[in-house]
Amino acid sequence: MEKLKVQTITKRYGRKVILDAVSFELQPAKIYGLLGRNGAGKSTLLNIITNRIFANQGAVMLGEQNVNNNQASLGQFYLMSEAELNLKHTKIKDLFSGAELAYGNFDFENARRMLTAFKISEDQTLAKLSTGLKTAAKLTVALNVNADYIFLDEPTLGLDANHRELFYHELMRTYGERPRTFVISTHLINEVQQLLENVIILDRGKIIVDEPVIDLLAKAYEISGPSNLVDQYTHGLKILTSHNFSRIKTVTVVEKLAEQRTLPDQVKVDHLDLQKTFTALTDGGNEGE
Amino acid sequence: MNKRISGLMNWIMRLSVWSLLIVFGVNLVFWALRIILKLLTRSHMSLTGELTNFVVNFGISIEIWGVILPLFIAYPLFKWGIQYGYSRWNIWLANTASLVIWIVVIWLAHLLKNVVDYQQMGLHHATDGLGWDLVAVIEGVLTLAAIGAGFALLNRRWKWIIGIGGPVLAFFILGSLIRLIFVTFDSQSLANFFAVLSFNWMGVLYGFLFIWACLMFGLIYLFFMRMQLRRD
Repeated sequence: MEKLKVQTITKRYGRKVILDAVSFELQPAKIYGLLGRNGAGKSTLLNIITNRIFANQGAVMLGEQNVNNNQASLGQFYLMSEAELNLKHTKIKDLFSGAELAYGNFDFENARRMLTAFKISEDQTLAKLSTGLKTAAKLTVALNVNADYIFLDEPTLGLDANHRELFYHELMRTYGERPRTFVISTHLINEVQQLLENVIILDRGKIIVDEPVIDLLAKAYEISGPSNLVDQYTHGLKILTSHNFSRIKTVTVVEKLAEQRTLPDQVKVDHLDLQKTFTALTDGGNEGE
Repeated sequence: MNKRISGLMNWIMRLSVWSLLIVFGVNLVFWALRIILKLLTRSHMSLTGELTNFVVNFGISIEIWGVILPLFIAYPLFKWGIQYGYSRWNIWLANTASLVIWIVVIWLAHLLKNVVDYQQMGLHHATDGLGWDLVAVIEGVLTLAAIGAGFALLNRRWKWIIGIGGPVLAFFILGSLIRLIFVTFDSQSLANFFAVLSFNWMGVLYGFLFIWACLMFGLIYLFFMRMQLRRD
Protein backbone atom coordinates (compact mmCIF):
# COMPACT_ATOMS: atom_id res chain seq x y z
CA MET A 1 0.00 0.00 0.00
CA GLU A 2 1.25 3.43 -0.92
CA LYS A 3 0.81 6.81 0.71
CA LEU A 4 -1.97 9.04 -0.57
CA LYS A 5 -0.91 12.65 -0.96
CA VAL A 6 -3.34 15.52 -1.38
CA GLN A 7 -1.35 18.40 -2.79
CA THR A 8 -2.59 22.01 -2.61
CA ILE A 9 -6.13 21.21 -3.73
CA THR A 10 -8.25 24.25 -4.45
CA LYS A 11 -11.90 24.04 -5.42
CA ARG A 12 -14.17 26.95 -6.25
CA TYR A 13 -17.87 26.98 -7.09
CA GLY A 14 -18.32 30.27 -8.88
CA ARG A 15 -16.59 32.84 -6.69
CA LYS A 16 -16.93 30.81 -3.53
CA VAL A 17 -13.76 29.03 -2.47
CA ILE A 18 -14.70 25.65 -0.99
CA LEU A 19 -11.19 24.26 -0.56
CA ASP A 20 -8.22 26.58 -0.32
CA ALA A 21 -4.87 24.93 -1.13
CA VAL A 22 -5.57 21.89 1.03
CA SER A 23 -2.63 19.52 1.54
CA PHE A 24 -2.21 16.43 3.70
CA GLU A 25 -1.14 12.81 3.52
CA LEU A 26 -2.92 9.58 4.34
CA GLN A 27 -0.76 6.74 5.57
CA PRO A 28 -1.57 3.12 4.72
CA ALA A 29 -3.62 1.12 7.21
CA LYS A 30 -4.77 3.86 9.54
CA ILE A 31 -8.19 5.14 10.55
CA TYR A 32 -8.66 8.85 9.99
CA GLY A 33 -11.44 11.14 11.01
CA LEU A 34 -12.23 13.94 8.59
CA LEU A 35 -14.10 16.50 10.62
CA GLY A 36 -15.59 19.83 9.72
CA ARG A 37 -18.71 21.89 10.16
CA ASN A 38 -21.49 21.84 7.58
CA GLY A 39 -20.20 23.32 4.34
CA ALA A 40 -16.55 23.02 5.38
CA GLY A 41 -15.77 21.10 2.17
CA LYS A 42 -15.46 17.51 3.49
CA SER A 43 -17.63 15.87 0.81
CA THR A 44 -16.07 18.01 -1.91
CA LEU A 45 -12.63 16.91 -0.77
CA LEU A 46 -13.60 13.22 -0.78
CA ASN A 47 -15.17 13.61 -4.22
CA ILE A 48 -11.96 15.18 -5.54
CA ILE A 49 -9.77 12.45 -4.02
CA THR A 50 -11.85 9.75 -5.69
CA ASN A 51 -11.87 11.70 -8.98
CA ARG A 52 -15.65 12.16 -9.01
CA ILE A 53 -15.16 15.89 -9.51
CA PHE A 54 -12.20 17.96 -10.63
CA ALA A 55 -10.20 20.38 -8.51
CA ASN A 56 -9.43 23.82 -9.90
CA GLN A 57 -5.85 23.43 -8.76
CA GLY A 58 -3.65 20.81 -7.14
CA ALA A 59 -3.29 17.07 -7.47
CA VAL A 60 -4.03 13.84 -5.64
CA MET A 61 -1.18 11.36 -5.78
CA LEU A 62 -1.07 7.70 -4.81
CA GLY A 63 2.62 7.02 -4.39
CA GLU A 64 4.11 8.80 -7.38
CA GLN A 65 1.02 8.44 -9.59
CA ASN A 66 -1.54 11.16 -10.17
CA VAL A 67 -4.90 9.50 -9.54
CA ASN A 68 -6.76 11.56 -12.17
CA ASN A 69 -8.18 9.11 -14.73
CA ASN A 70 -5.70 6.52 -13.47
CA GLN A 71 -7.33 3.11 -13.26
CA ALA A 72 -4.58 1.52 -11.18
CA SER A 73 -4.97 4.20 -8.48
CA LEU A 74 -8.73 4.67 -8.59
CA GLY A 75 -9.16 0.89 -8.34
CA GLN A 76 -7.77 1.14 -4.81
CA PHE A 77 -10.34 3.69 -3.64
CA TYR A 78 -13.93 3.20 -2.56
CA LEU A 79 -16.14 6.08 -1.46
CA MET A 80 -19.41 5.42 0.31
CA SER A 81 -21.49 8.56 0.41
CA GLU A 82 -25.02 9.85 0.62
CA ALA A 83 -25.07 10.33 -3.17
CA GLU A 84 -27.09 7.60 -4.84
CA LEU A 85 -25.01 6.46 -7.80
CA ASN A 86 -26.68 3.13 -8.37
CA LEU A 87 -30.01 2.89 -10.14
CA LYS A 88 -32.95 3.03 -7.74
CA HIS A 89 -34.12 -0.49 -8.46
CA THR A 90 -30.73 -2.10 -7.94
CA LYS A 91 -30.84 -5.13 -5.66
CA ILE A 92 -28.40 -5.39 -2.78
CA LYS A 93 -26.89 -8.53 -4.26
CA ASP A 94 -26.17 -6.54 -7.43
CA LEU A 95 -24.21 -4.03 -5.35
CA PHE A 96 -22.11 -6.96 -4.16
CA SER A 97 -21.56 -8.33 -7.65
CA GLY A 98 -20.71 -4.83 -8.90
CA ALA A 99 -18.03 -4.56 -6.21
CA GLU A 100 -16.77 -8.05 -7.04
CA LEU A 101 -16.53 -7.26 -10.76
CA ALA A 102 -14.78 -3.97 -10.15
CA TYR A 103 -12.39 -4.78 -7.30
CA GLY A 104 -12.36 -8.58 -7.10
CA ASN A 105 -12.23 -10.65 -3.88
CA PHE A 106 -15.39 -9.16 -2.41
CA ASP A 107 -16.07 -10.81 0.95
CA PHE A 108 -19.52 -12.22 0.16
CA GLU A 109 -19.64 -14.35 3.28
CA ASN A 110 -19.01 -11.47 5.66
CA ALA A 111 -21.30 -9.19 3.66
CA ARG A 112 -24.18 -11.67 3.97
CA ARG A 113 -23.52 -12.02 7.69
CA MET A 114 -23.61 -8.23 8.07
CA LEU A 115 -26.83 -7.99 6.08
CA THR A 116 -28.44 -10.53 8.37
CA ALA A 117 -27.32 -8.49 11.37
CA PHE A 118 -28.81 -5.36 9.80
CA LYS A 119 -31.94 -7.38 8.97
CA ILE A 120 -31.80 -6.69 5.25
CA SER A 121 -32.44 -9.21 2.49
CA GLU A 122 -30.03 -9.48 -0.43
CA ASP A 123 -32.99 -9.43 -2.81
CA GLN A 124 -34.32 -6.09 -1.61
CA THR A 125 -33.90 -3.11 -3.91
CA LEU A 126 -32.43 0.19 -2.75
CA ALA A 127 -35.71 1.93 -3.56
CA LYS A 128 -37.54 -0.14 -0.95
CA LEU A 129 -35.15 0.56 1.91
CA SER A 130 -35.47 3.34 4.45
CA THR A 131 -32.65 5.91 4.65
CA GLY A 132 -31.05 4.05 7.56
CA LEU A 133 -31.20 0.65 5.93
CA LYS A 134 -29.91 2.08 2.66
CA THR A 135 -26.93 3.40 4.61
CA ALA A 136 -26.52 -0.02 6.24
CA ALA A 137 -26.53 -1.71 2.83
CA LYS A 138 -23.96 0.73 1.49
CA LEU A 139 -21.79 0.23 4.57
CA THR A 140 -21.95 -3.51 4.04
CA VAL A 141 -20.48 -3.01 0.56
CA ALA A 142 -17.88 -0.52 1.81
CA LEU A 143 -16.60 -2.76 4.60
CA ASN A 144 -16.29 -5.81 2.37
CA VAL A 145 -14.90 -4.31 -0.81
CA ASN A 146 -11.33 -5.10 -1.75
CA ALA A 147 -9.90 -1.55 -1.75
CA ASP A 148 -6.93 -0.13 0.14
CA TYR A 149 -8.48 3.27 0.81
CA ILE A 150 -12.08 3.37 1.98
CA PHE A 151 -13.77 6.74 2.43
CA LEU A 152 -16.96 6.87 4.44
CA ASP A 153 -18.85 10.13 4.04
CA GLU A 154 -21.57 10.41 6.71
CA PRO A 155 -21.59 6.63 7.29
CA THR A 156 -24.18 6.84 10.05
CA LEU A 157 -26.80 8.83 8.16
CA GLY A 158 -30.19 7.60 9.33
CA LEU A 159 -28.77 4.68 11.34
CA ASP A 160 -30.36 4.05 14.70
CA ALA A 161 -28.16 3.67 17.81
CA ASN A 162 -28.12 -0.14 17.56
CA HIS A 163 -27.07 -0.12 13.94
CA ARG A 164 -24.43 2.51 14.62
CA GLU A 165 -22.96 0.28 17.34
CA LEU A 166 -23.02 -2.61 14.90
CA PHE A 167 -21.25 -0.53 12.27
CA TYR A 168 -18.48 0.54 14.66
CA HIS A 169 -18.05 -3.07 15.73
CA GLU A 170 -17.89 -4.31 12.13
CA LEU A 171 -15.46 -1.57 11.17
CA MET A 172 -13.02 -2.56 13.92
CA ARG A 173 -13.48 -6.21 13.07
CA THR A 174 -12.69 -5.79 9.37
CA TYR A 175 -9.84 -3.40 10.17
CA GLY A 176 -8.38 -5.97 12.56
CA GLU A 177 -8.64 -8.74 10.00
CA ARG A 178 -7.28 -6.71 7.10
CA PRO A 179 -5.84 -3.34 8.03
CA ARG A 180 -6.42 -0.69 5.36
CA THR A 181 -6.99 3.03 5.41
CA PHE A 182 -10.40 4.27 6.45
CA VAL A 183 -11.37 7.93 6.32
CA ILE A 184 -14.54 8.65 8.26
CA SER A 185 -16.29 11.95 7.74
CA THR A 186 -18.96 12.42 10.36
CA HIS A 187 -20.61 14.84 12.76
CA LEU A 188 -21.01 12.18 15.47
CA ILE A 189 -17.58 12.92 16.84
CA ASN A 190 -18.03 11.46 20.32
CA GLU A 191 -19.10 8.14 18.86
CA VAL A 192 -16.10 7.74 16.56
CA GLN A 193 -13.45 9.18 18.85
CA GLN A 194 -12.40 5.75 20.10
CA LEU A 195 -12.00 4.45 16.55
CA LEU A 196 -9.81 7.20 15.16
CA GLU A 197 -6.04 7.20 15.12
CA ASN A 198 -5.59 10.48 13.28
CA VAL A 199 -7.81 13.46 12.79
CA ILE A 200 -7.99 16.02 10.02
CA ILE A 201 -10.12 19.07 10.73
CA LEU A 202 -11.31 21.26 7.89
CA ASP A 203 -12.51 24.74 8.64
CA ARG A 204 -13.64 27.20 5.99
CA GLY A 205 -11.79 25.32 3.27
CA LYS A 206 -8.50 25.00 5.14
CA ILE A 207 -6.90 22.23 7.17
CA ILE A 208 -6.51 23.46 10.72
CA VAL A 209 -5.59 20.14 12.36
CA ASP A 210 -3.81 17.10 10.93
CA GLU A 211 -2.34 14.95 13.66
CA PRO A 212 -2.86 11.86 15.81
CA VAL A 213 -5.95 12.13 18.02
CA ILE A 214 -3.91 11.31 21.10
CA ASP A 215 -1.51 14.22 20.43
CA LEU A 216 -4.35 16.64 19.81
CA LEU A 217 -6.23 15.68 22.96
CA ALA A 218 -3.03 15.81 25.04
CA LYS A 219 -2.94 19.59 24.47
CA ALA A 220 -6.65 20.34 24.50
CA TYR A 221 -7.77 21.85 27.80
CA GLU A 222 -10.74 23.40 29.48
CA ILE A 223 -9.62 25.80 32.20
CA SER A 224 -12.14 27.12 34.68
CA GLY A 225 -12.17 29.09 37.85
CA PRO A 226 -12.49 32.66 39.15
CA SER A 227 -12.26 35.02 36.24
CA ASN A 228 -9.18 36.94 37.37
CA LEU A 229 -7.22 33.76 38.19
CA VAL A 230 -8.13 32.13 34.87
CA ASP A 231 -7.00 35.28 33.05
CA GLN A 232 -3.77 35.27 35.01
CA TYR A 233 -3.12 31.58 34.37
CA THR A 234 -3.92 31.72 30.66
CA HIS A 235 -2.00 34.90 29.99
CA GLY A 236 -0.21 34.56 26.65
CA LEU A 237 -2.24 31.53 25.55
CA LYS A 238 -4.57 31.56 22.56
CA ILE A 239 -8.05 31.35 24.00
CA LEU A 240 -10.39 29.56 21.61
CA THR A 241 -13.64 29.88 23.51
CA SER A 242 -14.50 31.73 26.67
CA HIS A 243 -17.66 31.64 28.80
CA ASN A 244 -18.47 33.58 31.91
CA PHE A 245 -21.02 32.45 34.45
CA SER A 246 -21.30 34.76 37.38
CA ARG A 247 -17.64 35.21 38.47
CA ILE A 248 -16.58 31.84 37.10
CA LYS A 249 -14.82 31.81 33.76
CA THR A 250 -14.31 28.78 31.52
CA VAL A 251 -11.93 28.92 28.59
CA THR A 252 -10.63 26.37 26.12
CA VAL A 253 -7.11 26.24 24.75
CA VAL A 254 -5.48 23.84 22.35
CA GLU A 255 -1.78 24.18 22.96
CA LYS A 256 0.78 22.75 25.33
CA LEU A 257 0.78 24.23 28.80
CA ALA A 258 4.28 25.00 29.94
CA GLU A 259 5.22 23.17 33.13
CA GLN A 260 6.55 26.34 34.76
CA ARG A 261 3.07 27.84 34.55
CA THR A 262 1.77 27.75 38.12
CA LEU A 263 -1.77 26.54 38.56
CA PRO A 264 -3.67 28.54 41.22
CA ASP A 265 -5.54 26.40 43.77
CA GLN A 266 -8.95 27.61 42.66
CA VAL A 267 -8.36 27.00 38.93
CA LYS A 268 -9.26 23.64 37.45
CA VAL A 269 -7.73 22.21 34.26
CA ASP A 270 -9.44 19.33 32.45
CA HIS A 271 -8.69 17.61 29.19
CA LEU A 272 -11.23 18.11 26.42
CA ASP A 273 -12.74 15.25 24.47
CA LEU A 274 -12.54 15.29 20.67
CA GLN A 275 -15.96 16.86 20.14
CA LYS A 276 -15.25 19.75 22.52
CA THR A 277 -11.82 20.23 20.97
CA PHE A 278 -13.42 20.31 17.56
CA THR A 279 -16.07 22.86 18.54
CA ALA A 280 -13.44 25.01 20.25
CA LEU A 281 -11.25 24.97 17.16
CA THR A 282 -14.04 25.58 14.68
CA ASP A 283 -15.99 28.24 16.56
CA GLY A 284 -13.63 30.69 14.91
CA GLY A 285 -12.29 32.02 18.17
CA ASN A 286 -15.70 33.41 19.14
CA GLU A 287 -15.59 34.60 22.65
CA GLY A 288 -19.07 33.95 23.93
CA GLU A 289 -19.22 36.17 26.97
CA MET B 1 -11.52 -7.14 -22.68
CA ASN B 2 -9.99 -6.79 -19.23
CA LYS B 3 -11.83 -7.70 -16.07
CA ARG B 4 -12.62 -4.12 -15.12
CA ILE B 5 -14.16 -3.29 -18.50
CA SER B 6 -16.18 -6.46 -18.27
CA GLY B 7 -17.79 -5.10 -15.07
CA LEU B 8 -18.92 -1.96 -16.88
CA MET B 9 -20.04 -3.95 -19.92
CA ASN B 10 -21.97 -6.28 -17.66
CA TRP B 11 -23.86 -3.27 -16.24
CA ILE B 12 -24.63 -1.77 -19.66
CA MET B 13 -25.67 -5.07 -21.17
CA ARG B 14 -27.96 -5.90 -18.27
CA LEU B 15 -29.62 -2.53 -18.66
CA SER B 16 -29.84 -3.01 -22.43
CA VAL B 17 -31.34 -6.49 -22.15
CA TRP B 18 -33.89 -5.32 -19.57
CA SER B 19 -34.95 -2.39 -21.72
CA LEU B 20 -35.05 -4.68 -24.77
CA LEU B 21 -37.29 -7.09 -22.88
CA ILE B 22 -39.61 -4.20 -22.03
CA VAL B 23 -39.70 -3.19 -25.71
CA PHE B 24 -40.45 -6.81 -26.61
CA GLY B 25 -43.15 -7.04 -23.94
CA VAL B 26 -44.87 -3.83 -25.08
CA ASN B 27 -44.82 -5.07 -28.67
CA LEU B 28 -46.20 -8.42 -27.59
CA VAL B 29 -49.03 -6.80 -25.65
CA PHE B 30 -50.01 -4.57 -28.58
CA TRP B 31 -49.76 -7.51 -30.96
CA ALA B 32 -51.95 -9.65 -28.70
CA LEU B 33 -54.51 -6.83 -28.38
CA ARG B 34 -54.58 -6.52 -32.16
CA ILE B 35 -55.18 -10.26 -32.54
CA ILE B 36 -57.91 -10.22 -29.87
CA LEU B 37 -59.58 -7.24 -31.57
CA LYS B 38 -59.48 -9.02 -34.90
CA LEU B 39 -60.94 -12.19 -33.35
CA LEU B 40 -63.71 -10.19 -31.71
CA THR B 41 -64.58 -8.32 -34.89
CA ARG B 42 -64.10 -11.52 -36.96
CA SER B 43 -61.79 -9.68 -39.33
CA HIS B 44 -59.75 -11.56 -41.89
CA MET B 45 -56.48 -12.75 -40.37
CA SER B 46 -53.57 -14.96 -41.39
CA LEU B 47 -50.99 -16.30 -38.96
CA THR B 48 -48.10 -15.58 -41.37
CA GLY B 49 -49.31 -12.03 -41.89
CA GLU B 50 -49.67 -11.39 -38.17
CA LEU B 51 -46.24 -12.86 -37.40
CA THR B 52 -44.75 -10.70 -40.15
CA ASN B 53 -46.42 -7.66 -38.62
CA PHE B 54 -45.02 -8.55 -35.22
CA VAL B 55 -41.46 -8.97 -36.54
CA VAL B 56 -41.69 -5.70 -38.52
CA ASN B 57 -43.05 -3.71 -35.58
CA PHE B 58 -40.54 -5.24 -33.21
CA GLY B 59 -37.75 -4.43 -35.66
CA ILE B 60 -38.88 -0.80 -35.87
CA SER B 61 -39.11 -0.62 -32.06
CA ILE B 62 -35.56 -1.95 -31.72
CA GLU B 63 -34.37 0.66 -34.20
CA ILE B 64 -35.99 3.43 -32.19
CA TRP B 65 -34.85 1.93 -28.87
CA GLY B 66 -31.29 1.48 -30.06
CA VAL B 67 -30.95 5.05 -31.25
CA ILE B 68 -32.61 6.60 -28.19
CA LEU B 69 -30.80 4.47 -25.55
CA PRO B 70 -27.37 6.13 -26.04
CA LEU B 71 -29.04 9.46 -25.34
CA PHE B 72 -29.82 8.43 -21.77
CA ILE B 73 -27.03 6.05 -20.86
CA ALA B 74 -23.96 8.31 -20.50
CA TYR B 75 -24.56 9.82 -17.05
CA PRO B 76 -25.97 6.71 -15.31
CA LEU B 77 -23.02 4.74 -16.69
CA PHE B 78 -20.59 7.40 -15.47
CA LYS B 79 -22.21 7.45 -12.00
CA TRP B 80 -22.10 3.68 -11.70
CA GLY B 81 -18.55 3.50 -12.99
CA ILE B 82 -17.21 6.24 -10.72
CA GLN B 83 -18.88 4.59 -7.69
CA TYR B 84 -16.85 1.43 -8.32
CA GLY B 85 -13.53 3.15 -8.99
CA TYR B 86 -13.48 3.03 -12.78
CA SER B 87 -11.46 5.65 -14.61
CA ARG B 88 -13.13 7.94 -17.15
CA TRP B 89 -11.08 6.26 -19.87
CA ASN B 90 -12.50 2.83 -19.01
CA ILE B 91 -16.03 4.22 -18.73
CA TRP B 92 -15.66 5.79 -22.17
CA LEU B 93 -14.21 2.55 -23.53
CA ALA B 94 -17.18 0.57 -22.22
CA ASN B 95 -19.58 3.14 -23.63
CA THR B 96 -17.87 2.86 -27.03
CA ALA B 97 -18.04 -0.94 -26.96
CA SER B 98 -21.73 -0.75 -26.12
CA LEU B 99 -22.33 1.68 -29.00
CA VAL B 100 -20.76 -0.86 -31.37
CA ILE B 101 -23.00 -3.61 -29.98
CA TRP B 102 -26.12 -1.44 -30.29
CA ILE B 103 -25.22 -0.51 -33.87
CA VAL B 104 -24.89 -4.19 -34.77
CA VAL B 105 -28.15 -5.09 -32.97
CA ILE B 106 -30.10 -2.29 -34.67
CA TRP B 107 -28.66 -3.23 -38.03
CA LEU B 108 -29.51 -6.92 -37.51
CA ALA B 109 -33.03 -5.94 -36.44
CA HIS B 110 -33.29 -3.91 -39.63
CA LEU B 111 -32.05 -6.89 -41.63
CA LEU B 112 -34.58 -9.16 -39.91
CA LYS B 113 -37.33 -6.69 -40.71
CA ASN B 114 -36.20 -6.63 -44.36
CA VAL B 115 -36.08 -10.41 -44.58
CA VAL B 116 -39.75 -10.77 -43.67
CA ASP B 117 -40.98 -7.63 -45.35
CA TYR B 118 -38.67 -6.62 -48.22
CA GLN B 119 -41.30 -7.10 -50.89
CA GLN B 120 -43.74 -4.75 -49.24
CA MET B 121 -40.94 -2.22 -48.89
CA GLY B 122 -40.41 -2.30 -52.65
CA LEU B 123 -37.00 -3.97 -52.42
CA HIS B 124 -35.78 -6.64 -54.82
CA HIS B 125 -33.81 -8.39 -52.14
CA ALA B 126 -33.68 -8.37 -48.34
CA THR B 127 -30.10 -7.09 -48.35
CA ASP B 128 -30.77 -4.13 -50.66
CA GLY B 129 -29.46 -0.86 -49.22
CA LEU B 130 -28.10 -2.50 -46.09
CA GLY B 131 -24.80 -0.66 -46.42
CA TRP B 132 -26.53 2.70 -46.35
CA ASP B 133 -28.74 1.53 -43.53
CA LEU B 134 -25.63 0.69 -41.53
CA VAL B 135 -24.19 4.15 -42.22
CA ALA B 136 -27.46 5.75 -41.13
CA VAL B 137 -27.50 3.71 -37.92
CA ILE B 138 -23.86 4.63 -37.15
CA GLU B 139 -24.53 8.32 -37.73
CA GLY B 140 -27.74 8.26 -35.69
CA VAL B 141 -26.30 6.35 -32.75
CA LEU B 142 -23.13 8.45 -32.62
CA THR B 143 -25.05 11.73 -32.85
CA LEU B 144 -27.47 10.85 -30.05
CA ALA B 145 -24.66 9.39 -27.93
CA ALA B 146 -22.76 12.69 -28.32
CA ILE B 147 -25.87 14.69 -27.34
CA GLY B 148 -26.43 12.37 -24.36
CA ALA B 149 -22.81 12.69 -23.20
CA GLY B 150 -22.95 16.47 -23.69
CA PHE B 151 -26.13 16.75 -21.65
CA ALA B 152 -24.48 14.71 -18.90
CA LEU B 153 -22.21 17.70 -18.28
CA LEU B 154 -25.09 20.07 -17.72
CA ASN B 155 -27.19 20.64 -14.65
CA ARG B 156 -30.98 20.65 -14.84
CA ARG B 157 -31.31 24.37 -15.61
CA TRP B 158 -28.74 24.30 -18.42
CA LYS B 159 -30.32 21.14 -19.83
CA TRP B 160 -33.53 23.11 -20.35
CA ILE B 161 -31.72 26.13 -21.75
CA ILE B 162 -29.59 24.12 -24.19
CA GLY B 163 -32.38 21.63 -24.94
CA ILE B 164 -34.75 24.36 -26.10
CA GLY B 165 -32.31 27.09 -27.09
CA GLY B 166 -29.94 24.76 -28.98
CA PRO B 167 -32.36 23.61 -31.70
CA VAL B 168 -33.83 27.14 -32.03
CA LEU B 169 -30.33 28.58 -32.46
CA ALA B 170 -29.40 25.80 -34.92
CA PHE B 171 -32.47 26.54 -37.08
CA PHE B 172 -31.75 30.28 -36.93
CA ILE B 173 -28.10 29.81 -37.94
CA LEU B 174 -29.04 27.37 -40.71
CA GLY B 175 -31.73 29.72 -42.02
CA SER B 176 -29.38 32.72 -41.89
CA LEU B 177 -26.67 30.72 -43.65
CA ILE B 178 -29.01 29.73 -46.48
CA ARG B 179 -30.22 33.33 -46.81
CA LEU B 180 -26.64 34.57 -46.81
CA ILE B 181 -25.70 32.13 -49.58
CA PHE B 182 -28.60 33.30 -51.75
CA VAL B 183 -27.88 36.97 -51.05
CA THR B 184 -24.11 36.69 -51.59
CA PHE B 185 -24.02 34.55 -54.72
CA ASP B 186 -25.91 35.17 -57.96
CA SER B 187 -28.05 32.43 -59.39
CA GLN B 188 -25.45 31.44 -62.01
CA SER B 189 -22.74 30.88 -59.40
CA LEU B 190 -25.14 28.87 -57.28
CA ALA B 191 -26.18 26.80 -60.28
CA ASN B 192 -22.51 26.09 -61.05
CA PHE B 193 -21.84 25.24 -57.40
CA PHE B 194 -24.74 22.77 -57.22
CA ALA B 195 -23.73 21.32 -60.59
CA VAL B 196 -20.26 20.53 -59.21
CA LEU B 197 -21.84 19.25 -56.02
CA SER B 198 -24.26 16.97 -57.86
CA PHE B 199 -21.46 15.72 -60.09
CA ASN B 200 -19.52 14.73 -56.96
CA TRP B 201 -22.42 14.34 -54.59
CA MET B 202 -21.58 10.80 -53.48
CA GLY B 203 -18.06 11.89 -52.67
CA VAL B 204 -19.35 14.96 -50.80
CA LEU B 205 -21.85 12.85 -48.91
CA TYR B 206 -19.26 10.21 -47.96
CA GLY B 207 -16.89 12.94 -46.87
CA PHE B 208 -19.55 14.76 -44.85
CA LEU B 209 -20.76 11.57 -43.15
CA PHE B 210 -17.22 10.53 -42.33
CA ILE B 211 -16.35 13.93 -40.88
CA TRP B 212 -19.64 14.01 -38.94
CA ALA B 213 -19.04 10.54 -37.46
CA CYS B 214 -15.47 11.50 -36.48
CA LEU B 215 -16.72 14.75 -34.95
CA MET B 216 -19.39 12.96 -32.90
CA PHE B 217 -16.90 10.30 -31.82
CA GLY B 218 -14.44 12.99 -30.75
CA LEU B 219 -17.15 14.89 -28.86
CA ILE B 220 -18.22 11.75 -26.99
CA TYR B 221 -14.61 11.22 -25.89
CA LEU B 222 -14.22 14.87 -24.88
CA PHE B 223 -17.48 14.90 -22.91
CA PHE B 224 -16.67 11.67 -21.08
CA MET B 225 -13.25 12.98 -20.08
CA ARG B 226 -14.86 16.14 -18.66
CA MET B 227 -17.75 14.39 -16.91
CA GLN B 228 -18.15 15.07 -13.18
CA LEU B 229 -20.57 14.11 -10.48
CA ARG B 230 -23.24 16.81 -10.58
CA ARG B 231 -24.71 18.38 -7.48
CA ASP B 232 -28.33 18.40 -8.77
